Amino acid sequence: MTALPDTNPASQLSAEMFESPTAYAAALEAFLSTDERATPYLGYRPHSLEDSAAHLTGLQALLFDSGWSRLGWPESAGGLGGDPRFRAAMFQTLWNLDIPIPEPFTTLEILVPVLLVFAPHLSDALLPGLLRGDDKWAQAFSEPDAGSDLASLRTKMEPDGDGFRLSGQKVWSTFGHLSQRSVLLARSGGPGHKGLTMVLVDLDQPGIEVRPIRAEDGENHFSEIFLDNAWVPADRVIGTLGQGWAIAMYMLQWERGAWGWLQQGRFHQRLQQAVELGTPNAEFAQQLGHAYAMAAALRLTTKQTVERLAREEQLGPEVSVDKLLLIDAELATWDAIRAYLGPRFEVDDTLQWLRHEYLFSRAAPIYGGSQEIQRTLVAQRVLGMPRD
Amino acid sequence: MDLSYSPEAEAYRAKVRAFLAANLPADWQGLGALAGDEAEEWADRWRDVMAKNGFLGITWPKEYGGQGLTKLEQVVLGEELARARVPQYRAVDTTNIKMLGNTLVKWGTEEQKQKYLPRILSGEDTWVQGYSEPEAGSDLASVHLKAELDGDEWVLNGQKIWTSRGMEGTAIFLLARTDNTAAKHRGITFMLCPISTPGLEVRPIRTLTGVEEFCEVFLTDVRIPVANVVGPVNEGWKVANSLLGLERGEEAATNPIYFKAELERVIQLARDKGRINDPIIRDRLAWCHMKVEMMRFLGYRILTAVLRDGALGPEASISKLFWSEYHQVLADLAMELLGPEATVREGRRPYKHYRADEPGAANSSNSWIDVFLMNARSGTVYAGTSEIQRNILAENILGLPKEPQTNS
Amino acid sequence: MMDTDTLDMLRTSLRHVLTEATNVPLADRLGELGWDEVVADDPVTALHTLFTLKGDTVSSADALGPRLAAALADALGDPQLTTATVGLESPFGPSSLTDGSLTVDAVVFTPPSDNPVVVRVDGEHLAVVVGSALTCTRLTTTDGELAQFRLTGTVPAAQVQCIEGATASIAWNAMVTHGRWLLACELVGIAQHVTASAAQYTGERIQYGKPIGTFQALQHRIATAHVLVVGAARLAEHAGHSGDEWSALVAKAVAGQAAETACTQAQQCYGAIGFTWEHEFHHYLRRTYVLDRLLGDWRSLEREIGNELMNSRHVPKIGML
Repeated sequence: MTALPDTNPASQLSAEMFESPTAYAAALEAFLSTDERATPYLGYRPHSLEDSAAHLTGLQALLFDSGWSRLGWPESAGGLGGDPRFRAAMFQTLWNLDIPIPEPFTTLEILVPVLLVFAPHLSDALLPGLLRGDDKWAQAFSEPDAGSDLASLRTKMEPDGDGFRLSGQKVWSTFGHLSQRSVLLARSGGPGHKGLTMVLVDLDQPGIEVRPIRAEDGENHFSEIFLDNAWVPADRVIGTLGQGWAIAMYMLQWERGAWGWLQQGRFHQRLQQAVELGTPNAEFAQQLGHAYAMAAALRLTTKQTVERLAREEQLGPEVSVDKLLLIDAELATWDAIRAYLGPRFEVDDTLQWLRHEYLFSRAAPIYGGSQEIQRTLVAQRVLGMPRD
Repeated sequence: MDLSYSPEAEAYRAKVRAFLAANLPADWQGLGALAGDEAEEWADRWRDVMAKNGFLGITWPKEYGGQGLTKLEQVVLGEELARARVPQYRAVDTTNIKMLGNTLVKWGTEEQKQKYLPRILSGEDTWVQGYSEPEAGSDLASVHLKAELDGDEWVLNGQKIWTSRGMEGTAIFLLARTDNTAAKHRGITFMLCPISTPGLEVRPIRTLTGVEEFCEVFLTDVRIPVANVVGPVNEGWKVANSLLGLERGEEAATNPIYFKAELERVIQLARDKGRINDPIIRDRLAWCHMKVEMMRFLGYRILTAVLRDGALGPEASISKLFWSEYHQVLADLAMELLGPEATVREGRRPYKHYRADEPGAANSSNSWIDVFLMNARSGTVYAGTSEIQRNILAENILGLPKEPQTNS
Repeated sequence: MMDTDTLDMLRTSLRHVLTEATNVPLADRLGELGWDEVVADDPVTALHTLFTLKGDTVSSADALGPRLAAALADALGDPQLTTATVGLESPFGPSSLTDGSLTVDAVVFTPPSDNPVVVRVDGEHLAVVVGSALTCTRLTTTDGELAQFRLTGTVPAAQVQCIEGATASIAWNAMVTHGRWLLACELVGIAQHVTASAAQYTGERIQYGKPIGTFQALQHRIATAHVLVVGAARLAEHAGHSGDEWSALVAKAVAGQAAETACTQAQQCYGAIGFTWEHEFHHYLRRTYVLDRLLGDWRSLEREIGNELMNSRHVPKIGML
């Protein structure tokens, strides 16, 4: 049994919740569906991405101040202890109640596990602000000429006094224009994997310009980040110089595993929305059944991955399977929803948010390592097929 | 695209129709209506009728038993036979008449043409194909069958595989490696070899439906005279590839007819199974119909290019991918319509083991199980896999950069 | 629960039992292993292991028939039916009970001799009749090695025990659920074997001077199959532990699709050899088609799932953290 830190004002958290994610999830569900402070978030439909970001910051603060979102993170970093299954349970609960997951939570799932291992001084100092929504972070990896071939990136990192100077261009940085900081991969040494270093850089400084990119659905999902002699202090290096690639690879197990679990919750929720909205029609039975079966396969596969992460197992290339299942499930889910809802899906004003999610789902085979890259990884590194 | 045929071709069409009317039984349903041995026997007899009436090898010069007609008449003949639901010849004549016969017409010496062509038409000789080897599949140019010159004989050592209907052959045409030092496409020679030659052994291969459709051929110190080389020594690759144009043109005209007939069988199956009003089944049948119609128009384009330019246009490279992948979807649909019956074998089995079952075939589970397991699934493998076809399409037609891995 | 060492030993023994050439029925050979105790101790692990290995070794022994009977006997609380033969849906028509007589048309995996046969009649009730009263004919199927028999005959109602109403439906559904789970395990075993073998083959087969497995087109084919197989394996494991109807339904739907996908992708990698009896692959392909169609093929099961979602307007979640 873990004692609650004094700083935690949340009376809702009882000791038994720390024992099982299921008990925790049940209590969280009860809290969110009864506490009036949570009401604005139930079934919330954003008008725009910026609206949504602002609105859901309130939810982040509520979940943090009442302790719920601190489970699953170490106490040293301002958490309340417990393994990552508690985070997974929180996401599932939010989806069950049709509450959108604040985007920073998804960033956290990917970035913070890395900081905990490679830069605990940063996670200890910065996690609470990040978790509470006071501080927002982006990731800046891709470059115009470094997409699937990430190791060819060129953003320069040169020593300058007690820190480094960064120059170059980053692209496809999710929520970059709404963030104060970004984890960034830069070239501090020679060519190839070994010359890369990961840093946490402040975006609100003179050497950095962030320009949003309008995505297919009309929303500013991504940004370009232009760096011209931008400054990053030495203590913002994650890991050591030249360790950037290894850290990026470590990050992938979270990006592909934990992210997949978070997303399956959304697919189940959206299928639920669709069956509530639609009129039963045998013509769409197989398409819906197939989408559900893929979402269920994703759920159980990523459940196992989350459990392995909770046991602190080191995951290997097999997590690419989670990402590939995610792609299949995401495309199948949205294809089925669109088909089932028919013309209404295309023209109903109240379904604009659903259309946006549909459009964004088309990116599933591209983001976070393309489907082609993942399949090659599975073939060569999981199934042992020969490399050229 | 020019959809009209010349007056000569139309006159020939009338002649074919008259011949068919005179020689086919009034209640002819198609070869598919006959079971197993009966179909084989009928096809043998029909081939003789075709031969006697001058409908085999019609583009070959008259002095070798042909009719001296053009490719256009060949296409018209193919169309009319397909419509009348009769085969052009026996299954084995695909390699015998279509492949070897036409190759000899183009590349054979005067002596070879006089000696072999009439015997092919009469059915005295039956030629089977020896191209593939265990190590030369998609990479066909890597043939290893070794041929060494010893006086005025070539001595062959090695192995061939996937010889269709090899057990029916009296002779085999082979690609052999005659120059080890040349680039891989250059040191190959096209040769003729009677099956009875000492040192040659044929062993059947059972396909997954249990039928002995293919053979392996083993050659140990097999000696054949230098006169048995077709085309120049070391130019066999060119000889073997020269048939493509003719083959594709005919195929373009007849495929849509056969696949259309097959689709009609599936529509009937949907009726028989009470699924014809199922909206999903209707969608899928309509999808198949569109594909067959697209195949037809694609066929016209291919045909127009072959007839006008004597060469294949870019659309020809789509053709193989198009019908083979369509056919797998169609076969899936048929199996689904059969429902629980789809695993219990009943009724007659198909006469041939590629493409559609013969027109007139009943909707028996045996017909569809074999079409599904063998005919349809093998379509994306034989005569250039889908992977090879896509590479050709991407690199030669669309101009995409070559995949570095395939450049050896 | 079985520990890892015990499980490894069990796998080795089962693999031997499933692959040895003998005419002794599987049940008797399993009996020598002390199988009943293993099942009693940890039924989920034991049965999951047996059926996955059965798929992996493409064994033709009848392991399913006795399990269906056991599930039905258990659900009906009638231990005597453990020795029964469960007659599944026949492609030729239904069984029915009318005018004082029972007309049987059903498919089984082992001839019932004089054991009781249970068939579903008119889509609702169950009828129990002695096997010797029925005619048993072996069917010629796509997979000639996995024996299937057709039971037919007309029996006077006086010789038939009828189980009616909810009891019958609940028991039959329990049997179907159990069977779907086991078939899902077997299909996963096939799919895993086929995927791994094809991956290995592409490393050995040389064309254009290099293993064909270096070509991305083939790597992606096998990877695509593997992904579905992993999902199917997780669902099959879960269906065993949960034992519920919905999980088994979804597990069998995905397993059938995974096995079919694995076979399709593998066959294209094998090329011509995959269309022959020269290579083991054809056993797996043909077994897949037969097993997929038992207790609902994957397409109809997907339709069943979709209809249930639409009509109940509820999307259940399988598996909790």
